[in-house]
Amino acid sequence: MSTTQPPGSAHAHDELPSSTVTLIVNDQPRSARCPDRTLLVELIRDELGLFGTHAGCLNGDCGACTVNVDGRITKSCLVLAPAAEGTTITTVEGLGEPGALHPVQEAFWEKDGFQCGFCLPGQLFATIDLLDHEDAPSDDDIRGALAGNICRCTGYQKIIDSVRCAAERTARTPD
Amino acid sequence: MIRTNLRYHAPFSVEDACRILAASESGAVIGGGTVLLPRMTRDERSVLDAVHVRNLGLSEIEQAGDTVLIGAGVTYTEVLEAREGLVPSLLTTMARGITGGAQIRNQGTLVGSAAYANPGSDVPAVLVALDTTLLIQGTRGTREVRAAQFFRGPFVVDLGPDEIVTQLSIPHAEGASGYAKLKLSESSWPIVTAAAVAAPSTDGGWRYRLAIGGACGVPIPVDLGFLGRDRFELDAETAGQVRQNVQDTLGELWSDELAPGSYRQQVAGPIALKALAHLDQEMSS
Amino acid sequence: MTLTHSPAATANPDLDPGQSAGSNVEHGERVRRKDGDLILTGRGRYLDDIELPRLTHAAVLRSPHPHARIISVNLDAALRMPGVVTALSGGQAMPLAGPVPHYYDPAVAGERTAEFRCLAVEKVLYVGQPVAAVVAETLHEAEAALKFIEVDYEVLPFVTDELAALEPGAPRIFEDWDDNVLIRSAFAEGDTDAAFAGAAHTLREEIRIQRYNTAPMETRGYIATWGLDGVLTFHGSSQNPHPLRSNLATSLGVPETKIRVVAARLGGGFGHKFHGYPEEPLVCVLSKIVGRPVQWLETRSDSMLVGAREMVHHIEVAFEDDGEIVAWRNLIHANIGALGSMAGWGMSFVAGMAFPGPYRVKNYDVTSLAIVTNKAPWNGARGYGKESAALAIERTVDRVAQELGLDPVQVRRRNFIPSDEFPYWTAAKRLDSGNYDGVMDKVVELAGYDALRLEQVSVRGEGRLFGVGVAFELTPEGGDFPGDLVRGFDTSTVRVDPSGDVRVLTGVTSPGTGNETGIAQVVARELGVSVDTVTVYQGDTDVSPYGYGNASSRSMNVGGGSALLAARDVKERLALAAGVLMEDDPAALTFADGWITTTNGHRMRFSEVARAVFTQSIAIPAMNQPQLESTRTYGPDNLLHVPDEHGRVSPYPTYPNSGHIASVEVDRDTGVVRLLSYAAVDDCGTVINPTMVEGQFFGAIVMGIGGALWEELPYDNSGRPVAGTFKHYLMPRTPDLPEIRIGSQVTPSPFTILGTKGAGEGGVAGAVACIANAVNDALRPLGVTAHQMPLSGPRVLEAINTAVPL
Ligand SMILES: Cc1cc2nc3c(=O)[nH]c(=O)nc-3n(C[C@H](O)[C@H](O)[C@H](O)COP(=O)(O)OP(=O)(O)OC[C@H]3O[C@@H](n4cnc5c(N)ncnc54)[C@H](O)[C@@H]3O)c2cc1C
Ligand code: FES
Ligand code: FES
Repeated sequence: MSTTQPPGSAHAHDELPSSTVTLIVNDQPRSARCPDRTLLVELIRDELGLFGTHAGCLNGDCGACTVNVDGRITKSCLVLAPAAEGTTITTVEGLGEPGALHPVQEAFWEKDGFQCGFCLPGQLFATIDLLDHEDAPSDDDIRGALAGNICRCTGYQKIIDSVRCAAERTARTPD
Repeated sequence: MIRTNLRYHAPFSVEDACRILAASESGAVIGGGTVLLPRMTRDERSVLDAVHVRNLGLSEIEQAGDTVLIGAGVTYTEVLEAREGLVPSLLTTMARGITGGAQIRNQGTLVGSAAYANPGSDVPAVLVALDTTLLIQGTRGTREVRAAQFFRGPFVVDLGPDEIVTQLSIPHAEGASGYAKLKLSESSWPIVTAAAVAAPSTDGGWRYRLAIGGACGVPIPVDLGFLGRDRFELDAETAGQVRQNVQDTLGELWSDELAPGSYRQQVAGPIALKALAHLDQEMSS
Repeated sequence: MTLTHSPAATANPDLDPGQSAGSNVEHGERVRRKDGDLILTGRGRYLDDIELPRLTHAAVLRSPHPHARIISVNLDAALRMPGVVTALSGGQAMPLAGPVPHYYDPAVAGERTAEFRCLAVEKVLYVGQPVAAVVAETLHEAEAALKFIEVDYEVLPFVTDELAALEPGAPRIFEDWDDNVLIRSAFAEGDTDAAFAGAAHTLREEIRIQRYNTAPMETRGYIATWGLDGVLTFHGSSQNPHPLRSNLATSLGVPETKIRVVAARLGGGFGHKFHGYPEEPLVCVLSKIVGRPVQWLETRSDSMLVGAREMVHHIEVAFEDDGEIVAWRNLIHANIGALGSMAGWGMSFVAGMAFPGPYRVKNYDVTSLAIVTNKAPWNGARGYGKESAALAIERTVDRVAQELGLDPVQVRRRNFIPSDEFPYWTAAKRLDSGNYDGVMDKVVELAGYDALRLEQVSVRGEGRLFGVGVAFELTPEGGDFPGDLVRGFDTSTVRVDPSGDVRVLTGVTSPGTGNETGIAQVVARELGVSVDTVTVYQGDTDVSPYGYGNASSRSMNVGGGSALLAARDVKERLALAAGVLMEDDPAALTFADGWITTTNGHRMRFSEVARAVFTQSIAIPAMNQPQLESTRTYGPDNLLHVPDEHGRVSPYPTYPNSGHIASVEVDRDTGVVRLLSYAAVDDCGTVINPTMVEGQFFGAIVMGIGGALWEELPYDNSGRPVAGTFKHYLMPRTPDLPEIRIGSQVTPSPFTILGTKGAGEGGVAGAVACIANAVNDALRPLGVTAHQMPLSGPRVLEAINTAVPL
């Protein structure tokens, strides 16, 4: 083993093609310089310190890395950080905070729609996206909306109960 | 994580994009990135120059005479949000069934799926059934390739290293369509897909087309000539003939982690019939 | 939800409903999950969220061969790569770390064993075995450098099939063993041969459960940091921080007092995060070398290397005309891969021990062989062999019903152990309590079983393949295996601060299941305070008492039980003080709603009394107990290691059980199974928090469904694992599932202080068996069976293809 760095292996960070990414995250203007090969999920977590966005598969399958980019819910492991230049992003931290939860977060707490919580970004953003499009979602709508997210803990039943509860609460009263 | 010294490009013209690709030791176009990024992350694909389509002005769905043009940046969600009648119903049905949640429909492009040419993907057979032409641009100019010729083999397409698929050109045939696919579960990549189209022909009858995806390395057009030009009836005899034609047309079978070729071969007929049943339904209504 | 009582609880003197707030409530309160607001807003911190200065990242080079001799490892080129800080081969790691201690060493059970190093030294035994490691400034750089490590292998013949591994000439996985069998566990009672000879009917089946694991959404990860004081801080996504600390001390040759293990918030465990992995000591060694914190994260495809459950049951059953099962014979072949140091191999033992399930069968002869092969080793997986046993047991019970033309529910009832026969002994278990008929009644009603059977008649009439599955699960829980650090007891401290706030420090951990909420409820109820004032500390070995962490649904039984005992001690001291302060008999005080009240209505706040204990104890001599803290250890009474007069022992103390009924339709053209309905009723004894228990049951059921239908870790002919992403390893998703309906019955355990039996694991086994029965019921009109799990489209169509055309 060797801990000395051989010549020519100077820290490569600087040689890497890099970009300064300027964007709005959770209503705050943010900017970070990172190598072009950085994934958006890495930018959000490692550069911006928003660890609520999780990486469960880095393959687009699990949804734990979901954020909202310019109004569209997006799996942030499938985006290069420099491609997020100029975007407006909401992460799970931006949905609500302790003491002032988003109504969907409230419903998930009340109906126990999570256990370990690792998958929550996908479940919460998919629910909010569904309720943005659908006032009174059917069971099929709910199951379809959550299809992009894997949860290993809950068996989904209480997630579905949470979505139903959130839908009832946010349903606009007819005026 | 991505291990190469990747450089990200978001050029404003297709010419620039092609030039970057041509000059690169190993370049790749990013459409939605839903396939390419994980492959780079796992080091299954080593890319030095990633050229994003986002600024190329190719995010539109446009009507151009008798055809509809779908740009390289168009996502499944954009197809679903297109104004009534602009895109063929087959595309809408297909887009609605893309799995991975709204996230994947928001991010993945139709062109990206075509360029990846995974035998199991939804897009390839649909493009063949719709008699789509792919508009391609490279450093040496533009060319057009019919979908049936574009797919050369599993994960192999007729595309040079400096070339970009700019648009899909789909003849606007306001007919009816039917689509069916078999997945093992929601998590499963499609195993076999079937896309059926009835295009009104000039003589007032119908021209029927059927393409099967997933069974072989490339989408397979199945001859439905025996249906003639009239409205067909999906009786036992027709069904038997469809099954027979499907079996006769399938060439070398495709196998992957999820299912062997023998399985695909056996289910192809039933899935084709499902697509025709949907077509039948749509024609009746 | 109706509640049913069990036979009177007699064995436990602690179980005095008058005295203990903990034991007289069958269905506790639905308190919502602690820290829910943090977790829901992305403020929960998991392993990969820990920020440490000067953190470096490790990547592991894994063997591409199923079996090979390592000739040489050359790190030079990798060391020249950008950002690389160090690289390490197995030979170099040898003097720095001893063998990885086993989670439970088979040698402790008197069996063969083998040594595993953090990096392979002479030989690799499976694809994916760690061979070398790189540490770099970033994970990108570490991974990029892997390609530049040159390893010269001499490829050896390999074997991945368990039957082939038993052949005399098979490649030997461990050269110093004379065959490839780790352990042969036998469980027998009665005279099986005679029972078979005298029975009216017999039948035999071969039933295979596939290799698959639990795939928590958060993969594993570890961070090692050595302080200047020589103290190693190890952050790990681990279910068992204390035993892990002990094992790191052994492996690294460091006093245990110089190691602190902190188990981060887990993104799911399910056995995958039991310890014994080579990467645990590896990161410590790497960190020591580089003098900086080193983090290693398991990739998703790494996580799919970990095996579990792959077994074949060669099973025979003998039965009478009325459905009475008189004998079982079963030879189990478990393909446990290359053993490893993790917790997996024990599943082969449990799969045999679980016989004869919930049934009163007096003759059986079950042998389980743990066979080593060149597949990656197992770790524990929720179900822990019980799902495999349940599949074999429940499939054969259904086959009995089918042979006799009886209803499967009826055959189960015919054979259930009656409620009044508990505690009930089998060869290696003493079942605590149960009312299986009661559970069955409820699930039959909940599922609308009779209506499902009617529906089946009409749907079958249309030529469609509609099946109804019934299964009953018995889940031995809370196992205690002496000789190694897998124990059935645990320890908690309860501390009351001068403010009156309560801290519980416990040796059990939560992988995200929420046992901290339940433990807080038990303590809050005992002390008569709001659960919001109780904080539970878990997972930090410098904070909590030595404990065994999270396994075998033990957390409430022993974490809750020990916390209850400690809370009682503290309550006694508070009562003494309050009695002095309010001049009343301490025994006559009531503790409720944050107040301590005397018989004549005087009251003081709980917090006032707590403060008085800290501030007045010497001033008011009669109070004389200036500390509000107690540490207690608790284990259930039914852990029996001293053989009884028949030589029987019972390493598992409690036996939750559940009944399951599902309906499915099989597509005749494609073999794809559509799950139409699912209902299940569980009995896990006393329920502290119904919400949490339901959540566990739902999760377990869906994990069972996933394993029954889709999840699989196959190997190809070259000995390589095929599944590396969730596009190959098919996890259940919302559209795959119907509404799942559950119910509950409470038959407290007479042997646990809370009456709990354990929730968490139960449900997996029942679901696997229930789905298998439903699919086979659907296939009945075709006269075929599908006994190769999972019952995915291609497998079921293969079975359909064997049908003789009418
Ligand atoms: C969770 C999940 C679920 C999915 N479900 C489905 C499904 O149900 N059905 C299905 O068919 N697919 C599915 N996919 C696969 C895939 O994401 C989509 O098919 C998607 O359309 C691919 O498009 P993209 O734009 O993201 O491709 P990209 O990743 O951007 O590109 C894919 C390939 O095409 C090349 N490419 C992209 N654009 C161009 C261009 N304009 N010119 C030349 N080459 C180009 C890229 O270089 C790359 O090689 C799923 C993926 C995920 C992650
Ligand atoms: S990490 Fe992005 S979808 Fe799993
Ligand atoms: S709550 Fe653990 S993965 Fe969903």
